[in-house]
Amino acid sequence: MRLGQLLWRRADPAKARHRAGVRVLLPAALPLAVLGIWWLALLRQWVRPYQLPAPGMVLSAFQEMLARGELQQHLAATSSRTVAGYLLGAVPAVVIGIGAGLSQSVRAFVDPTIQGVRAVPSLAWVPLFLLWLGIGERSRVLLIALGAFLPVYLNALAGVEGVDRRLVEVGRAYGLSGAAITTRIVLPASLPAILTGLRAGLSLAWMFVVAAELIAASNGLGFLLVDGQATMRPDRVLASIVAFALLGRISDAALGAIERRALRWRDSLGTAEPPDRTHPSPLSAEGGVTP
Amino acid sequence: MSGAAVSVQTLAVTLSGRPILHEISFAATPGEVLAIIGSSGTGKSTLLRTLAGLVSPERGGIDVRNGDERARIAVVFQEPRLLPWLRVAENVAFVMQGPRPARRQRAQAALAAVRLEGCARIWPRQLSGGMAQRTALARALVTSPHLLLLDEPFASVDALTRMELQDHVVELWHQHRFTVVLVTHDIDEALYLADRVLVLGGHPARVQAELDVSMPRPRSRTDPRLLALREPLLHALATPRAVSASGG
Repeated sequence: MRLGQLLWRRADPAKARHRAGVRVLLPAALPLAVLGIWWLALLRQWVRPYQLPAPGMVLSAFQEMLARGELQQHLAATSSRTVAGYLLGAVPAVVIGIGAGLSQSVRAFVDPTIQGVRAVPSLAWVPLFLLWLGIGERSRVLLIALGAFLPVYLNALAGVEGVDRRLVEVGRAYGLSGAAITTRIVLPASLPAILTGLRAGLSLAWMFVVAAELIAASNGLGFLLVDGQATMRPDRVLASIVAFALLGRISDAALGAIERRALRWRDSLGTAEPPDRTHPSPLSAEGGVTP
Repeated sequence: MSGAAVSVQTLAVTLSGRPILHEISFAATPGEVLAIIGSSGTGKSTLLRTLAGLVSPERGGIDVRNGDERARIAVVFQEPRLLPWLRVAENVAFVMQGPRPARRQRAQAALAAVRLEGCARIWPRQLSGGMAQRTALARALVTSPHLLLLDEPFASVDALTRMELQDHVVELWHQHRFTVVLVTHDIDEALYLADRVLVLGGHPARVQAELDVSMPRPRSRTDPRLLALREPLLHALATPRAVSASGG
């Protein structure tokens, strides 16, 4: 249930239908307006087609690249290096973040260094990576991993640190071992923060794959951007941007769906349903006297 | 199931350099319901948390025994403290060990004992305060405890629910005869539930007074004999080092 619904709930079915219609149309309104302005700008010659091609031309470029298999090839290259870099950064980040949250010693060992690395803008490492690893796949993947690592680590650490002490006490009071308390209380309790970090890390991985491919690549959507600029093909540049948007949106939606599924127990505006609608019977069976 | 014998000898607890409990000694016989009362901040909860093993004493000893064996202890806290990511039945089964079907079966039985059998599959967020506290009670019961520690368990629910939960504890006690140590600031609750009431007071806290409530259960809240015991308890709470009293 969204905040608006919570604040201004109405029971009128006609208004509910109207709201449902608005909900479908509203997300499309802004892109359609942008498209309209785009058409108008070309029609009135506010911009030149070589600077900003018509939407139809972008679509043609998209279709043409698809037909030749060129787009698929670049999509595959970008996706695979993003996934590789993301896993290389996010998996250790979760493990180290949890470790630092659980153990003061681990934290004292790793956190100052990670905070130091965090203070440096990640792209500043690019020259060093290129020097060490050369202009190749390894330096690109490493850059993406670095970009994904930091938000995932910080969120995992904050998640473990933020676990309600009272819940840990329940485990202690009932004689659970340290390992059982960690796996059955601390980790599930810090899952919301870890998933938030994983989503933030993923969006940074997409950002860094563009940077990596802009700097040095012979394939991938970033390469397509540079190539489009060099060959004066803004339609191909825009088609690449659209492809990036699609990839980012799909991957984030997938992770968002996993997050919603994993956190369906949460009583928050984004996940919860009103109790009276989900399980009316056990609650109403309590009657008026029972709480 | 039988109750545990509890023996606390010259217990002293210091938290963050501040002495909280001093020279606390008392004992509870198997199946006895012992209430500990005192004003807010006296150290009642610290005493209970020490009995639960959540706080280490500075000095003194605690012995909780079920015959020659180590007794099983269960705690119900002031807040239900349910794990929000587990459904109600899973929350109850959480503290048990063994194969999953057996755990599930026992959790279901414990939920039935607190009249929440229809709520097994719902999330803790969908429970009312009283239902959540009853789930916490079921979680304690499922371990078949010899000693049940209750830390102001009904303080956060309304008066009507509180009375219902108190009756429920009495009913469960009749069935299982576990030893109960109840911490409360509610004199009436202490008198209604306990066989004996200890009054904690002073800084650091000591046992200021002790009152026997030798009345059979179930009791009536309006029983004049019970109401007559309020006076010495109020007196003990207001006066440091009051004399021991008994009623019934």
